[in-house]
Amino acid sequence: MSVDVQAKVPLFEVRALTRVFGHGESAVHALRGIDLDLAEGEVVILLGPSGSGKSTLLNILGGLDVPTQGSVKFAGRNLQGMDERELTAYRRTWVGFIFQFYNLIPSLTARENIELVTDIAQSPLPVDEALAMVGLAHRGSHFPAQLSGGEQQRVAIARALAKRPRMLFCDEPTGALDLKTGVMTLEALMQANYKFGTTLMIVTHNADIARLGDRVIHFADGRIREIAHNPKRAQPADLHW
Amino acid sequence: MRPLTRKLFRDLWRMRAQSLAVVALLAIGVGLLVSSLGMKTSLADARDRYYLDKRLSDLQVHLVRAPLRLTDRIQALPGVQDVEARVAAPALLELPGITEQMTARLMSIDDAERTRVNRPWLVRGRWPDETGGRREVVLNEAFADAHALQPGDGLIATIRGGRERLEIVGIANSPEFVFVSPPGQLFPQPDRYALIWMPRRALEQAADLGGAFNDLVLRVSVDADIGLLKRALDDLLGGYGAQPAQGRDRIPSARFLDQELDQLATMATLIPPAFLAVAAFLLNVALTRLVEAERSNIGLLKAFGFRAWEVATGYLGMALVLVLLGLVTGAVLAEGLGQMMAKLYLTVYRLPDLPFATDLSAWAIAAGVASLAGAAGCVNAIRRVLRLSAAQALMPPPPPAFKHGWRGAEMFSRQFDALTRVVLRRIIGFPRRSLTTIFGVVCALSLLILARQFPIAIDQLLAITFEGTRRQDFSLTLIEAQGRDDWQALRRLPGVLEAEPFRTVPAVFRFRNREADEALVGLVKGASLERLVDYNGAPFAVRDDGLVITRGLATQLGATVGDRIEVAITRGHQVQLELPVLAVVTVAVGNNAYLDLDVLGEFLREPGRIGGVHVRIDPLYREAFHEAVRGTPGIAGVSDLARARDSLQRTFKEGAGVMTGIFVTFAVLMAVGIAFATSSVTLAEQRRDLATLQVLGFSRREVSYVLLAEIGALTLVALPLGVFLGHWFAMQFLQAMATDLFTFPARFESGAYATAAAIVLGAIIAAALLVRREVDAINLVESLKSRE
Repeated sequence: MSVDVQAKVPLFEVRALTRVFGHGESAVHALRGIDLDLAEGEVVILLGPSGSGKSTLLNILGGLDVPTQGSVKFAGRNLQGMDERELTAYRRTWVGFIFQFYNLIPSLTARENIELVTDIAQSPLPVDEALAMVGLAHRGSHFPAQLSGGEQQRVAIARALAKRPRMLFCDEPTGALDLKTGVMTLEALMQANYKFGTTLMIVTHNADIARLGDRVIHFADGRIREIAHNPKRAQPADLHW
Repeated sequence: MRPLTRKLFRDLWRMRAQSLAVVALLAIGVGLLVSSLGMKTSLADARDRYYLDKRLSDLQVHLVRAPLRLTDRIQALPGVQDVEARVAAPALLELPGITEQMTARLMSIDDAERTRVNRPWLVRGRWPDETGGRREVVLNEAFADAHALQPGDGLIATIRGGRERLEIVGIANSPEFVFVSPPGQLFPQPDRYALIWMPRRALEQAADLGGAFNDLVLRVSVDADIGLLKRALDDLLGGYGAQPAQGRDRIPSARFLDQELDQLATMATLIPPAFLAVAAFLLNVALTRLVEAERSNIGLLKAFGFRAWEVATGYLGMALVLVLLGLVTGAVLAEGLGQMMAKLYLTVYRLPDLPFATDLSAWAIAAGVASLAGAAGCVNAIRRVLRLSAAQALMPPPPPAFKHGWRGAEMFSRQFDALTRVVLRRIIGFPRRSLTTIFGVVCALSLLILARQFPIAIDQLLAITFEGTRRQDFSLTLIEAQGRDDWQALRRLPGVLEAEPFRTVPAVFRFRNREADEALVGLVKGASLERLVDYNGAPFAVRDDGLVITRGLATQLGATVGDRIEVAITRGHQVQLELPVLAVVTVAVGNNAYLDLDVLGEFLREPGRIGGVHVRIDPLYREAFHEAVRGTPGIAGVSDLARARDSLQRTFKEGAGVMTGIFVTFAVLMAVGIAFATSSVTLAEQRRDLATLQVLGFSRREVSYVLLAEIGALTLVALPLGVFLGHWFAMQFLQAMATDLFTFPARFESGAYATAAAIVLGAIIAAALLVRREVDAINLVESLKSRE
């Protein structure tokens, strides 16, 4: 199933976005003027070599980092004008993150890691439903140290989905996983997109994963080099790497 | 410099805050330990040198009157080395502008420079010249200082009713009076009690003791059998109204000094270990944390071919450097504290000098204990380094393996929200660390409570002594016991509202094979001015069918209620009694046995005689009272209770004030160090989790809660525990500091304890908030992308 991009209202509008780390001679231009619109329900894959700027874009859109110049609008609201409190509320309500190293709280069980989010979200999923979505209904009482890497990543996905975010940012979600667990993880992500229409932005090195997206954005040297449209999204089960 | 050595110093610099805390605590522990041990040795050395140099007496005998020719026979007794047969007499003193009574003890000197026992030494001026017509005397330094008297000044003395002017020609001190307190008083009153040395002939004349002596002091040879000698002296002098021969332990000054030395030893054993233990804990936390953070470096070094012990040596080296820094800083601190204490002691104790010196054994102990703390602090880290294989170390550490705790803990933590659960699981998941944090806070609070308890105990002691026990305004002591008529005369002195007679006789108490030289005090039944009160303020009545004795005396004798103890009194004739102990009273001050006054008189075969009177006077008649006392012959001494209280308060508060200041400072440092270390570790270990929480949409406030709640919860557990343990510790400490003359009555003071807890809490909050500022600086992206 593909989404008709043109028909959608943009969820994000990115204009002339620049991000410079450091200054003077040692300044690193991570982003050099990005223009991009993201539609609601879209699956976007960011591809490119290390240091090409894809993670920086994801962090800025997710409210973890601020641009040096340019603007980001989320559902018509400017992100760069927000103070710390508003950014916290933005992250709490609208967006979710998946990282390469799961970032579960080690002292909380799988269920409790999800409860962290459901305690503060406005209309969260029931915890059991979130666990069931990632196929871990039976592992809820386990601590992260008692789960495999793939299971930990699926708990992280369940935690991100539990607040029903409109946008899910995934930075190398399968980077630390083998094919089988990686596929299970991606299935969980794609299911969120089918079921709730959650917009997905996935940063990856893995060109094969690009087949899952509606659009594939190629980054190089802080710029968008190319945007490719997939007429038909692949299923995670079709992937191999 | 080898690369590993350079790394060592860089690591130390990187952890400078924690290193500083470790060094500070080590230094304080070492400083307190070395200064109290050093002070003890310095004081003991100064005392011993002084006693030896100025020939302090080993035995003393007070008697009524014995002919001087007996001296040869005394000298011939086996074991006697030197004898001084002195004349001593009490006197009342007058100085212009001072209405209150001042008393003095006059002592005869022959050839001052050659005095064989208890040799006084001139501070300034000269020795008296007998050939001149004037009464020349030498005055003790403390009294001279108190009244700014100099050689050339004069004072009026009433000796045996005769009033005369004495010319001061010199100022001196004596080993007998390192600590100057009036007879029967436990506390120094340098401005109200003087020691006066006078040429023998002049004093014989004034005291009506021509060719006689009444105060015998002697030094014995090293191999002398003191017990045998005492009996020989008692036999020889019994007929001359001699009291039993007494050893050094009955010289009030010597006794006091011995007790001070015991207290210094107590201090050295009880306080410094707490600091060293907490320093060990901090070092442990800092190094273990460093090893954790340095995993990959350790792996790298091992992969490069460094041997495990070479890598471990680096961490051992860090501990060593910190211990060395602690020792050096501690040395500076010890020197400063020692000098300060020595100065303080010299204001109370009249010693020729008191050079503060630390001895090798104190350093050996300090170095040993500090190294032990250092070793305890790094053993955990070293073990980890040795165990870590290169491959293991190069991989990221596994997530801390939390497990489900026991059911109760799980049920408990389920009551809370997820953030609180994170905090609780850490506390329960790292029990050793949590317990050490609690221990540190408890230590800090205990120290503060101890510091607060000093003044409380002193106030209690003063209150019980002066509001419970000694409620008279003045106590008049008579030269010799007097009968009814004199008693009537005394109670009719101007201004006297209430008067109560008493009698104190020195006695030897024996029970089984133990012996104690103390006083037997006769009080009237239903006395209201001088009462027997225990240290809780409960009064005890004297009885006529037995003795009430103080706890100190009971301990000395090993006797308890129901035991019959032997009492030997020598008042011209020997009186031997066997009396039951009816009660043992824990008093705040003093060490006596008490009996009904009339019964005591019958035992002494002197019914109706009294040794002195306690009076309460109308303040309006104060001057008239003093005037009349001066004109009454037969009064040996007058003690002014209000002055005694002031003087006692000053003595204690000076010492306690310094101690309190030191303890409060150190306790706050300890609390800050603990809180800082604990929160730093929490932050370092949870940096990633705290970043995750922010990404999930928790505000900085909520995230800070996770950081602060841990130290907060541990503090909440530690504070009440610290109050009770601190109180218990203070009790033990005060009990250890108690001597046979003083019991420090400690009391649970909720107000003072709450203040102490608040101070510790404040220090912890300040340190924790300092660490909390780091939460604002957490770089979310960096923290989340890194593996550790």
